Amino acid sequence: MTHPHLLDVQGLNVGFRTKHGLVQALSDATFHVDPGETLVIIGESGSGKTVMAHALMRMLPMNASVSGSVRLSGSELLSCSERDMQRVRGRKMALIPQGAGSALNPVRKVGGLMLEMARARGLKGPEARERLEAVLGELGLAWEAVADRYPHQLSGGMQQRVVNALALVGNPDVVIADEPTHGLDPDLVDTTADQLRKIPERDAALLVITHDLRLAQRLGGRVALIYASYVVELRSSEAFFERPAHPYGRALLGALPERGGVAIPGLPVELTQLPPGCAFASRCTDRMDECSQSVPALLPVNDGAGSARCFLHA
Amino acid sequence: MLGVIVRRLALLPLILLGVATLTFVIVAISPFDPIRAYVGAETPISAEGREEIARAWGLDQSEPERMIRWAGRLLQGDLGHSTMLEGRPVSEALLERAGPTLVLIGTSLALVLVGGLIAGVLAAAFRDSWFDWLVRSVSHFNIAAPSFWVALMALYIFSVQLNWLPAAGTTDLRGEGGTGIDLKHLILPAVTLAITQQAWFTMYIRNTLLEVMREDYVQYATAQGIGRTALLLRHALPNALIPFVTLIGVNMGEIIGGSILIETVFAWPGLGTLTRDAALSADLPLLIAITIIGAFFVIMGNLFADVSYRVLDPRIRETGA
Repeated sequence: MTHPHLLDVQGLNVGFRTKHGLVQALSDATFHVDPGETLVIIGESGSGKTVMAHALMRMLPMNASVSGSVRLSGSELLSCSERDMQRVRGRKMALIPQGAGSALNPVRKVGGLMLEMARARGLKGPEARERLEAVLGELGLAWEAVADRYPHQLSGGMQQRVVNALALVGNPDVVIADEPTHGLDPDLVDTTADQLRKIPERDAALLVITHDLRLAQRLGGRVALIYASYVVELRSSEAFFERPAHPYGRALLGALPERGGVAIPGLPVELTQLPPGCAFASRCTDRMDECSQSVPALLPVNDGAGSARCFLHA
Repeated sequence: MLGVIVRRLALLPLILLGVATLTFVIVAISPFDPIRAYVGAETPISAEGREEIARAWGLDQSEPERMIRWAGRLLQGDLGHSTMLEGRPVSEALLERAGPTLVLIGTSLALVLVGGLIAGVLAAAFRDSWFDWLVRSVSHFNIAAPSFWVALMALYIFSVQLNWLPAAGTTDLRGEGGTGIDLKHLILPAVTLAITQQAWFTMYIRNTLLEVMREDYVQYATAQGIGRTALLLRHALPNALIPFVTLIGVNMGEIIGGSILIETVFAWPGLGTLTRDAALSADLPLLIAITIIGAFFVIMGNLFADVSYRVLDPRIRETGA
């Protein structure tokens, strides 16, 4: 390896110890992103994709057990001190949260809150305020319009811009957007997508976690499709939406109304009792004997546009 | 918000009238005899003597009549005269006893608030540590222990055995302090009353903080690189304090009720001991006045809780209702 990837995730496993046993939220997740790239992590709710953002920023609850490797510019995050991690959060790796409204402290005025968060990124005194004003301005929002108000006094669009501005104010290397269109009005979805597309242009890596296939298609870049804690397909967005390589990818796209709207038969497996083989085998139309015996590795797809975790590509 | 205050205050006289009536009924059917209490348990008294006393105090009339006459006098600002205190005006007795009680309640409230806040925040910050364990154990003990027992134990240990603190009263009568209140006398009753209230406030702050720490906005602040201390004090605590402040108001009744027991144990000459004596002597005018004052403070405490919630939470403040 001559030059390390900006964000390099290798064999990341995340499980939660609960009273119902171990819940496996992420199994052997492996991917990387470099500056200016977009990676869209697609998954149904409960597939483990939401855990991804918290795992990368090391914000999982106490009962989580994590193994594998997450490297940022070559340095390991999973084993670094909490103090070092604190300096990574917001500065190097920024989060655009799911639901801007509930992410802003209800009893704090937006201006003070933003200043505190900008200062946590090492911006000092008047510089923090100037940077915030500049970033807000780029997003079409004046500092004066939000600073002296409480979060609930802002419209959904303004709240979204506030958290977007906070994500960008420290010039982070990686921006992680967790379900950025969750619960948004259709017109807000458009502006959000436009704002997200500008992030890779700033030479940051953009990681979008979503269940919104249309948003994924609009953002382009690459796609990591998650099913029952596994990344089952990791490909260029174009290739994925044209010729999905994993049977689950095919079934998921086939469920879109404009592609026939055929629902995937059966139910997703429980994350507490993952089968020894492929997690999708029970619902798969291409099932083979080996599928229920062992979990396939991420195998290169022969069009050269990525890989899929399926024996069809062996 | 003004609407809420006005509506609650408008209801106040009705509630107080209800409380007064209820007290009246309870005293009327209670086995305590004001005349017997007046002359003393051992003193023989003739039937004529009884009648005479009863006539002098208006006890010969029917209960509804007495109630109406009492209410009529109240409207003229007259709380009546105490039978137990040999005809002394009730208002005078109340004023004299209010001071020591306010000092007692105020001191223990301050102790509870400051102590509860500090202990609760630290217990939440060091969750599952030995300190957290200690705070929780002490709190559970204090919830379980009856307040009079705590008071008697404190009295026995610190006053009788160790002789560190005085056992009764507000001041050393042999000293030069006159009838004031000195700190040494205040410590035992105030701390004991605080102990009986401590657990609610401490555990409340601890548990609410831990709950708020899981909220989206604290998670988000974590993702911004905000340190743990700032998360706890600047992001979680303001949200946890809103319900905490209201708890003070709601607990007003507990505190007033608790003060009666504590004052009795430490012979603290406040409204608490006056209440006990009035109840045992079936001193109706005095008892009703005290009950009404107690009820008034409880209602005002609740109103304070409601209003403070609206003032402190910008989301509710907005709607104005």
